[in-house]
Amino acid sequence: MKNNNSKIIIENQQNDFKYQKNKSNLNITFNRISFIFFVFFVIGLLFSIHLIHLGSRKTQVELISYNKLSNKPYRADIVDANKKYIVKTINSIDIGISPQKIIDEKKLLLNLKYIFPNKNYEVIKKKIKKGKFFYFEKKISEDNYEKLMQLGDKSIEPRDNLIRIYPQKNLFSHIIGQIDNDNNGISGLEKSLDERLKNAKEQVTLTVDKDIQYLIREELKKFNKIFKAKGSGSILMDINNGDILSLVSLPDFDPNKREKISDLNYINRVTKGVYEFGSVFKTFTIAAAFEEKLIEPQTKFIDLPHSLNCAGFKIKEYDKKIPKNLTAEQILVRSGNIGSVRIGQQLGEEKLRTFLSKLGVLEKISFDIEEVGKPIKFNWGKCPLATASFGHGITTTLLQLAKAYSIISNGGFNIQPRLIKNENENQLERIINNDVSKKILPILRKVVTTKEGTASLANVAGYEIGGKTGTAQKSVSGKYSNQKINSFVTVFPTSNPQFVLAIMLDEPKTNANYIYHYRDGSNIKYKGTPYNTAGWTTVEVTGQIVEKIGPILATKYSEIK
Amino acid sequence: MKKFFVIFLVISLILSTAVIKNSTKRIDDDIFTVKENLRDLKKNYDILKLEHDYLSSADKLLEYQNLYFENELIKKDIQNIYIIYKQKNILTFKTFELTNEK
Repeated sequence: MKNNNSKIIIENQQNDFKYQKNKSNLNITFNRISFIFFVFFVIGLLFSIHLIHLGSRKTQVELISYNKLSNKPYRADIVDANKKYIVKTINSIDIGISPQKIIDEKKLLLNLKYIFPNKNYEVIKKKIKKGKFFYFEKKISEDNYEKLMQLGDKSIEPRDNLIRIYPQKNLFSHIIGQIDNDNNGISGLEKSLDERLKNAKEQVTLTVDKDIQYLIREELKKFNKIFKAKGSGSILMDINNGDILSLVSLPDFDPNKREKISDLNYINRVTKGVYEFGSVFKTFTIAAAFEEKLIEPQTKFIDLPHSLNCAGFKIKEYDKKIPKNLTAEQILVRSGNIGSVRIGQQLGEEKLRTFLSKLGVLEKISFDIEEVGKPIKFNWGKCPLATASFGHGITTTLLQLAKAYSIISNGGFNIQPRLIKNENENQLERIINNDVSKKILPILRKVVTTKEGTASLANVAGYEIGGKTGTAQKSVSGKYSNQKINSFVTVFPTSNPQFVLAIMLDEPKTNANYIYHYRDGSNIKYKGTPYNTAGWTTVEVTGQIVEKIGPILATKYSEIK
Repeated sequence: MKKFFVIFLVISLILSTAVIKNSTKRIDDDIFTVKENLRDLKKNYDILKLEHDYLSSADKLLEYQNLYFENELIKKDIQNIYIIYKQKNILTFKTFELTNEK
C-alpha cells in the first residue's frame, strides 16, 4: 500500500486543452464532450428559433386581411331592445383617380367607358386635366370593383368608406342623431357614443322598442294634426330601472338624408326643451308634505279662498266651482291652486326646494345624449314658493318630469333614465320614504277615475292608469302668451306601478270636429274640444296611446301573475 | 453527469417546444380559414337581417297590409288576452290581468 502511495502517476494530457489567464482568477476548462454538447446546443437553439418563428408568424393572407381591417373605417351598429337594427354600417368602396399616375389616358378612358358607359366623360377629361385627385365613382358595386382592379391601372385608387343606414327612418331620429361626412357623430347617440361606436367590436343595444316607438309616434302625429300643435313629445319609461322604452319628439327628421337642421322647431322636446308644465308640479308639493309627515291624504284644509294676492299678482282657482273646504287628496284630484299654495307654505321654501332637488327637476340632468336642457334658475322667495307649489314659474324638461314621477311611484328609489341597455343592474338608493308612493298613487288614480278628476278620458280599462294633468301658459321672451303647453304624466298600473308615460303638446288648439268617446261606461260621445286644457288634449292622446301599446307592454314587459 | 442532464433537458425542452409549435401551425391555418368563412357568413347574415328588419318594420307591414288586405288591423283589448296552462294534457285558460283592481 505504501509503495502504491509513492507511485508517480503520469496522466495523458494530450487531449486536454487548458487555458489560463494569468492576470485574473478566471479559469475555463473545456473537455471534448462538453464542447460537442455546446455545438449541438447552439445548432439546436438556432433551429428551434427558426421553427418558433415559422410557427408564430402570420400567413400572407392573414397579414393582408389584418391590414385591410385595421385601415377600414368602422362604426358599430345600434340595435333596439329586441336586437332589431336601428343603425347599420355597410362598408363601401369609393373609386378615385390620381391624374399624375396616368400612363395612357386614352386607354384608361376607353376601359372606364366599357365598365361605366353612362358617365359623362367630357367632365372626367376636364378633371384629369386639372391634375388633382378626384372621386370617379362612390359606393361602387363588388362586380365593378373587380373589373376595375383587373385593369391594373395605378391611377385608379380605391378608398374604403362606410355608409350608415337608418332602416327605421324618422322613428329614432332624436335619439340617434346624425353623423357628418367624415363619419363623426354630430348629434344624439351618434355624438355622445362617438368613441365607443368607433372602437367597440360589439353592437350597442338600446332600451327602446321599435314597435312601441312606432305606435306612439303614429298617435302623436295624428293628434298633432287634430290639435294643430307646433310639436309634441312623449317618453315611456320603466319606473323600476329607468329603461326608456320610447322617446318621441315631433317634428322629427330622416337621418338617411343627412340634412343640416337649423330650424329650432326640430328641438328634442323631451330632453332639450325646457318648459313650465304647470299643475303636474302639484304632485311634488303634496308628496313633499307626505315625506315631511306634515299632512296625510285626508288632512282637511278649511276655508280656502278663491284667490290670493302675492306681490301684486293674483293667484286664483282655474275651476270656479271648487269648494272652500278640501282634503289634501281632493286638492290634487281637483287640481286646486290655493290648496297647493297652502301646502307649499306649510312646507316652507327649504323643504320644497330640497325635495325637488332630490327628484332632480331643478338642475340639468346627466343623460345618454348631449341634447339636454338646463332648467331656468328659480329665484326662491315668499311669492315664488307660492307659485312653485302649483307649478307656476318653475321649469324643467319632460325627461326630468318622467324621472321624478318614477321616483315618487317606485317606492322612492333613485333611478337614472337611460337609453343604453345595462345588463348589470346597480343597487338603487332609496331617497324618499316608501309611504309617499303608497299615499300618492291612489290619489293619482282618482284623478283619472273620479268625476271631479281632470283625466277621465285616459281611464282605459285594464291598465289602472293614474296621473296628473298640467296646463301652462307658454312664456315667450319673458312674458306669458296665450299659447299653451299641455302635459299629462301617467303611472300605470297604480296598484303595482311599472311604467311612466309623460306626454306634452306644444301650442295645441281646440278642434271643433273631433269626437270624444267617454270612458266611464256611459257610451257618450262628445263633439268638439270644449277647452284648450290638458284634460281635453293630452289626456285623450294618452288614452289612445295606452290602448295601442298596452297589450305589448302587458305581455312583453310585465310579469305575468 | 449533472451538467450533462441539465443541458440535455434544456435542449430537449427547446426542441419539443419547437416541434409542437410547428405542428400547431397547421391547426392555426385551419382556424384562420374557419374564422374567415365565419366572417363572410356573418356579413351575409347581417345584410339579410337588415333587409328583414326593414321589410318587417311596422311602417312596411302596414303598407303591405293596405296593399294586399282589405280589413284594417284589429286593436287587441287586454281583456281578450288569455294565459294558457297545460296540466296533464288538459288546457285551461285564465284571463290575463295586469292589475289588482276590481
